[in-house]
Amino acid sequence: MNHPPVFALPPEIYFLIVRYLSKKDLAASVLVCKTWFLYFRPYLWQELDLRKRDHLLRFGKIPETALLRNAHVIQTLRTRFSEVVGALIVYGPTCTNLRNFRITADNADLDAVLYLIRQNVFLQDISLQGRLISTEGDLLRIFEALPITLSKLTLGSNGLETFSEAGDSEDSEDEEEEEEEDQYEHFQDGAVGINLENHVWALTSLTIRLYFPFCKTLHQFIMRAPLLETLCLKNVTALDVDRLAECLIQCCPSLATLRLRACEDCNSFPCPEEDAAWATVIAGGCQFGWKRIDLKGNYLGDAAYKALMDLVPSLESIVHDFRTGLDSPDLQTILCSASFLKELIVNRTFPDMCTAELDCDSIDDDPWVCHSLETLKVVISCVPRPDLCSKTNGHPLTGRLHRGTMAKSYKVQQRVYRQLGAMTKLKNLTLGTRINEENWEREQYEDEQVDEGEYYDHENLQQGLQYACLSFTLESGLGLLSGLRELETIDLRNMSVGLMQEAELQWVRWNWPHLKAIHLREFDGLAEDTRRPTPSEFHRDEDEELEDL
Amino acid sequence: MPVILVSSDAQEFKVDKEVAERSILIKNMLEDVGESDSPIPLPNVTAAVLTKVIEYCEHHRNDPVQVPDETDDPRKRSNDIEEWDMKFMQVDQEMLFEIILAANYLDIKPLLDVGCKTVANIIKGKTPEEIRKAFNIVNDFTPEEEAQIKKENEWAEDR
Repeated sequence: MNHPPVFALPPEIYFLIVRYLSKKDLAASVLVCKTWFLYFRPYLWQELDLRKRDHLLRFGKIPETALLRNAHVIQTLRTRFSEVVGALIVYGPTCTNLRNFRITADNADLDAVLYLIRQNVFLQDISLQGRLISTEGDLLRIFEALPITLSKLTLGSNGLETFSEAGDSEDSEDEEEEEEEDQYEHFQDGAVGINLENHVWALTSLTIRLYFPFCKTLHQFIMRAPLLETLCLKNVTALDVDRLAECLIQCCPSLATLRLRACEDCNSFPCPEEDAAWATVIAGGCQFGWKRIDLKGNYLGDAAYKALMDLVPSLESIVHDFRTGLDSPDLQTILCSASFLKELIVNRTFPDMCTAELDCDSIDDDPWVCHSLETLKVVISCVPRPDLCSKTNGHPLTGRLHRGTMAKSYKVQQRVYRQLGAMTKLKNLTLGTRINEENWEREQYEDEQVDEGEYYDHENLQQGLQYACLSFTLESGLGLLSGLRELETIDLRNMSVGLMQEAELQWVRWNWPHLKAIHLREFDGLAEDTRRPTPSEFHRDEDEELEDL
Repeated sequence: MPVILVSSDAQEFKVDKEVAERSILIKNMLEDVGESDSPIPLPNVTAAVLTKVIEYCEHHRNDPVQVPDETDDPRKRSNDIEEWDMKFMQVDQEMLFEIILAANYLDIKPLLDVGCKTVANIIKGKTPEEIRKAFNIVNDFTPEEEAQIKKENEWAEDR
C-alpha cells in the first residue's frame, strides 16, 4: 500500500503538532483516517472543559459508549456541574488518569466528588470550590480522600452564605467538634491524629478560603504535608495563629510563601493578644528563609511588626495594606534593604483611614537596593505640585502641596525618578489608585478655597484625582526613567500627570519598547498610540479567583 | 574550525563549528569527542535533507539560544513564523516531513518547532475531507464508523 508521506511522522511528533491545534481542529483530525483517529483521539479527550451551560448540554449528548471508551484518557476536568462528575462515575469508570480536577459547583454533591478523587490516584492538582464544603467535617473527609501524588490543593466556599446554611446542622456538628477536640489533644501530645492518617508527601501548595473555623483539621493536615512550599489562607479570623505558628515551625521547613489574609467583608481589628503569636509566625520565616509574605488585611502589633522588618532583607515579595501598619519611612527602609525584592505591593484601600503611602519626603538619597524589582505598586505622595494651582485671588499659597516653587517640586521629583530609574528590571509600575469616591485630599483643598481664596482648578480636572503625585513630564525629570527598558505596564490611574502630552508620548515610544499598556484616567485620556488592553486581559476566570488570593 | 558531517548516502559537508552546533546532538558529540577532525556520521539524514538543514542553521547561526518555555501553555500559537522560515518551509510534503524528522534526530528545537507549526497550519480550519486531500490520505473508515466517531466527538466542535 502506498503510504502518504505524512505517515512518516512518528506519534511523538504528532504530540508536538497537537499543541498548535484547537479542539475543533482535533475533532476534524480524528475523522481523517484510522491512524489519525488513534493518534489524535487522546488529545481530543485529554482536557474536558465543561464550564459553560452549553458545554453541559453538549456533554449530555455524548453517547455513553463514548464516555466508557474515552474516560481513561481524560487528564484535565474543569466543570461547574456535578452532573458531569456523576456521569463520569457511572459511565466512565475508567476515568482514573485525571491529573487536574477543578470544580466550582453550585449544587455539587461532595460524595460524588470524593468518589471521583478516590479513583484517581495520580491527581496532582485539585480545586474544589462553590458550595461543596460547609463544615469542618467535610474538610476532614476531603483531606482523607486525597491521593499521595497531589501537589496543589485549592479549597473554597461561597462565603458567609454557606456559613449560615451550615448552621442548620449545628447539633450534629457540635458532637463532631467534641470528637475533634479529643483528637486535638492527641495532636498536642505529639500523637498521630485519629482520622487523618494519610500523608500528602508531594503537596507543595495549599490554598484555603473557608468561612467557618477550620483550624483543628487544618493543623493536622499541615502536619502531614511536610514539603509544603506555599500556604494561602484567607479569612484569618477562623485561625488560631498560636497553633498555626507552632505547626509551621515544626512541620514545614520548605515553606517559602505565606499568605494569610483577613477576609475583606468581616471587620478584623487589632488583636493585641495575638501579637506574640504573629511575631512567632513571622520569626519562623526568618529561620526558614521565606521568600514571599502577604499579610494583607491583618493588623500587626509591635512585636510582629519588628519581626516583619527583620524578615524583609530575605524577601522576594511583600504585599501589604494600610492595616499592616508599615508607614512611609518603613517602605523606604524596605526598598533600601530588601535586595532580593521582586514584588512590592502596597494596597491603599480606604483613603480616609490610615494611609499606606510612600511619602516622597521619606525617599532620601539612600539608594534603593532592590535591583531585581519587577512589580512595584505604591502611591508616592506629598510631591509639591504648584503647577496644579491656578487660582489664588492674590493670597499667598499655604497648603502643603503648593508650598515652594516649581524648582523645588522638580528637585523632589527628580530624587524620586532617580531612585525609580535604577530599578531597571521593573515590568509593572502602579502609582495610581482606583478611587471611586472623591479623593479626600481634594476636599481638603476645597475647604481652603473658602477660607483663603486659593484652590486648584478642578473644573479642568476629573474628580477623584490624586494631586500630590509625580507629574510625569519631561520637565519634571521623566528622562531619568529611561533605564526602565523592561517596563510593560504603567498605571497612573487617577493621577494628575502629563504623560499623555505629545512630547512625553514620543519619549515613551523611544524609551520603553516593551510597554503594552498605559493606564491614565479611568474613563478617557488614553492616547491613540498607546494600546488599550483588550477586555480579555481584564477577564478574570471565576475559577482562578483563589489563585489570586 | 570547520566540522565535517557525513550524510547517510556518504556525502561530506564542511560547515563551521558554530553552525553545526545549532544541533544539540552534534554539539554534545563534539564536546564528548573533544578536539578532533574526524568526520561525524549522520546515518539518519540524507544529503538532500542535510543540505536544507545546514541552510537553516547557517541562516540562524547568530540566534540567541532558546530558553526553554517553562510556562507550559497548552495552546500555542502557530502564526508567528518568521518570513524567512516560512519561505524555507515551502517545500514538498515529503521534504517537509524529512526536515521535521531530521530536526528531531539532530535536536534542533527551533527548526522542529517551525516544522510542526507548518504542519499544524495545514490542518487548521479544515474539514476532515480537506485534510485528507491536503495530505493525500485515504479515508479508511466505513460510513457507520465515521458516523459514530462524529457523534462521539460532536461536543468538541465549534470551539
